[in-house]
Amino acid sequence: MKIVHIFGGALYAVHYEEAEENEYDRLMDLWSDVVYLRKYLKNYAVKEVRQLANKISDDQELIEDLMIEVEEGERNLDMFFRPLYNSETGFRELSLQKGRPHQKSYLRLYAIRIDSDCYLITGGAIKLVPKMQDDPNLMEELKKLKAVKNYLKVEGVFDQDSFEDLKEE
Amino acid sequence: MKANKDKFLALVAEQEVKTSEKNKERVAKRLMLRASRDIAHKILDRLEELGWSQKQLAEVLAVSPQYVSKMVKGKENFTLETLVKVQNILDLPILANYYESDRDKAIQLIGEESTEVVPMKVDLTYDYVVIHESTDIKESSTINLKQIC
Repeated sequence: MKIVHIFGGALYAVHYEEAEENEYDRLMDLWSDVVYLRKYLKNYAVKEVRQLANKISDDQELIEDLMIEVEEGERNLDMFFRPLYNSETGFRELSLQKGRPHQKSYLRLYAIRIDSDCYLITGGAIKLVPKMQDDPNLMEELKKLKAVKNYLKVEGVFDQDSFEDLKEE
Repeated sequence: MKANKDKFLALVAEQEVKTSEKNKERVAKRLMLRASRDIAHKILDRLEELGWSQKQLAEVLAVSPQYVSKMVKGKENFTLETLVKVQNILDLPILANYYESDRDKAIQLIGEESTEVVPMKVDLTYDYVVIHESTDIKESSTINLKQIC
């Protein structure tokens, strides 16, 4: 696993050993790939495949725009990412996070918060079910989040709160 | 204890990635990419209707299966030559002039000499094209354009 720097001092992404690209590049490529989207949505028995595929690609464009705004200093990533667990309150280092371009979006970028306005993207998914536990693809993303967090812990990048958080999960 | 950002930064690979450039490039090409995705959906829908595989399309187009695979991903900057070929082979309206030329053929068939624009709705969900005329066309409103092409 490699960690690569994406934008400014704010955004980093994991580049997994078996992957050709880092997670941000991989997801942007995937979410604009018509063949992939149609196959993915058909697997979920989506009826209006083309319509939903277009919505997903529109949301992918919103993420691209947001990243440019972040890079140009017009917005910050704290406005985009939220704690993965809605029950989490307050500031917590190395908290597991989710980012979506708008409330109704099916797209999720998953990340670990390193510091204020500093995030490490671990993956992402098209979330078509209410809970992550309902979907093996999303569970895989949860596994990735935890594995990266564990890696950071082993490397000494953690605080006491986040360490406790990891033990609970 | 605070997260140790210095330790985190020490884990970051020195390798420079082109993510920012790629992101900007996609934004700059956005209109082309949207059109390309739209065409890819049309091609895939049509292949499903016809029961054709991408390989079959590649054979008819005389291109490699890899090229067809690229076309249907929705990222290809098609040449006009390719678009015209795909449009004709699949009988698929991709370019706007597809409608205009079919309308001209329909007007010729029904003996309409006027060059005035005839508003019509074209239903493309069937193998034939149904034209709902809104002027004083007396002929049957159902015309099989495939027979006259």
